[in-house]
Amino acid sequence: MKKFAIRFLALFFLIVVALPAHAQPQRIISLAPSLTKNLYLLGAGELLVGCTNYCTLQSDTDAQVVASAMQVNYEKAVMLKPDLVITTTLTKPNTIDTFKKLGVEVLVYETPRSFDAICSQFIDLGEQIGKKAEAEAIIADARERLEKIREKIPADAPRQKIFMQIGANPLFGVVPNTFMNDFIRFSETDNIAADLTIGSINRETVLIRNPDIVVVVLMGLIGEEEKKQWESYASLNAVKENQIYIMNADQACSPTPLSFIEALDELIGKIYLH
Amino acid sequence: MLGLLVMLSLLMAAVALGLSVGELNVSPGSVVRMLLFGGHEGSMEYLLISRIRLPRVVLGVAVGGALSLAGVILQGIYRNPLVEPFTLGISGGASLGVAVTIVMGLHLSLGSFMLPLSGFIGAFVIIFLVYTISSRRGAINIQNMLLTGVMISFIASSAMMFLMATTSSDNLHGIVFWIMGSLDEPNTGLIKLTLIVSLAVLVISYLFVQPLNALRLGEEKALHLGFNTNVVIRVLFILASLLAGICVSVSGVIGFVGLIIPHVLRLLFGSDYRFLLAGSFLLGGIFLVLSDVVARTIISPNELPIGVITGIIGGLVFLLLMSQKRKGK
Repeated sequence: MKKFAIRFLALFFLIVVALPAHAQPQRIISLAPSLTKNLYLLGAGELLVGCTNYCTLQSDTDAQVVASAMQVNYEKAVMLKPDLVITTTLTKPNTIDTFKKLGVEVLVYETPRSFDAICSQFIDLGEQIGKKAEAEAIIADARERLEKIREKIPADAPRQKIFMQIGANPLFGVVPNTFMNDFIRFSETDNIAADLTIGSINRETVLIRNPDIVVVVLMGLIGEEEKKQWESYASLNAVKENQIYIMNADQACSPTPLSFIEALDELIGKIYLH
Repeated sequence: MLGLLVMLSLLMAAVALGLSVGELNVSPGSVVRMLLFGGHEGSMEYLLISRIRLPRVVLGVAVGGALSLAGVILQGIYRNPLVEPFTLGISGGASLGVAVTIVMGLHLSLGSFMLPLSGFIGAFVIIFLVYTISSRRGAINIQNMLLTGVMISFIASSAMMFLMATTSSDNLHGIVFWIMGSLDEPNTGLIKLTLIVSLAVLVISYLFVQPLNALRLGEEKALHLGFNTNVVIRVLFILASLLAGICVSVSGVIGFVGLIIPHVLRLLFGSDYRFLLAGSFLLGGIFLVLSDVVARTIISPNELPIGVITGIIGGLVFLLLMSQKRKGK
């Protein structure tokens, strides 16, 4: 029995040493638009073979669409012979299990809850696909830009109350413990929804808490309409101060380290340098 | 008559409550003063009451009243207690219309009025389909119509699932929330329209109060009593459906109101349509205004979708009334 155990251990050891510690993936399927963006940012666009129909590709020939927001076409996905699937916790557990059963490694990233989480996920992704150095360089650069942007805030600026709207009808706001709350934190303003855990909020509550700044993070005409709606409340501080802004939802809501910094730069510019 | 007066005053009380309760409580006295004499343009109280709460309460009265009225009329012409405005696929059609708009991003490029408009078009298409498929050579077959409605409703909801399965998660969020219903409608024009149309249908429906009462005996007996049931059923069907279609397109799918309110009234006061039509309108208004108060205060400052409240409270109250009625017997 002892002999057997030793042999087994030896064999095990041999296998572990002989196998490459981490075969670098060569064919990646991304099931989230934000992760697709991150891959491009890492310069790993050529590794991408499959994506969802909501991912933005730099050229149509980069990858094939294998999934919608809810459903994956497994046959098409398998035919692409992926060795890594990257996705978020929004993907159904069944989908993740199926890929694992098919022998494909799956990396699942949580929705980041802060800018730091965005950065650490980005570095982790870089590490997994053999681009750790590139990832770290990009993050270092992003953090440096973050400091520079924050220096633009005047030291004597009074703290202002802010409401960031990310949904209309029903009204939805940014709440703590989300990466979007970091836009508020880094811009040295106070979130009027700081005591909430879910984003659905009464319009009445927003008016009573009387924000000095309202930021509408919505696309297209809906954003314009919401802005007009807020502007029609004459007694709102944000209206008196003329501080109702529209922010690019595409940039602000899908978290790559770079787009976060760019959106923050724009926001701080609007609040303090208008 | 006395019952209607009592309900009218209850509706007034519900409106007053709806206007004074919220994140900032205002005494009913000052609410009335502000409504009658206006208030400081710059004051927060006046802003809240005139711009946020009043439109919501008015829409609540209009939609609650209209859905219950549509429910009572449809139950009358189908002589089926389980029919409600949404059984016939009206909500399915409206939801499908809205889902198409959200998926194609039409509301982003053309403006948010596209949502109610497409909802109404969707509802209208369904009404038209149900109506034409179930009419044969000028005659209309009630049972056929009901089945057709239920089937079309299934097709619409599957089509909607198809859209939801193939769209992005942002759009999914938008569709799901729209379906859950809300009285938060910034467009005051739409609110006025809903109120006027629902009051107009209420008045028109009283022209048909005798045939509706006769229909309780059955289509054939009503015919023998001298009513042209074919015309009555058609006109009432179209009126009730269009009314429900407008409600769904403005405020989303608010379920159970059209089903439960007429039943509660029948349990309490009997089945005379002279009373039921106006009674349903009033009680529906009371119910929806109060449900909205609960929806926006129960987990304040967060807000619940109103469909959640109407479903739970409406269902429970109905079960309670039924069990008491049985005990009484």
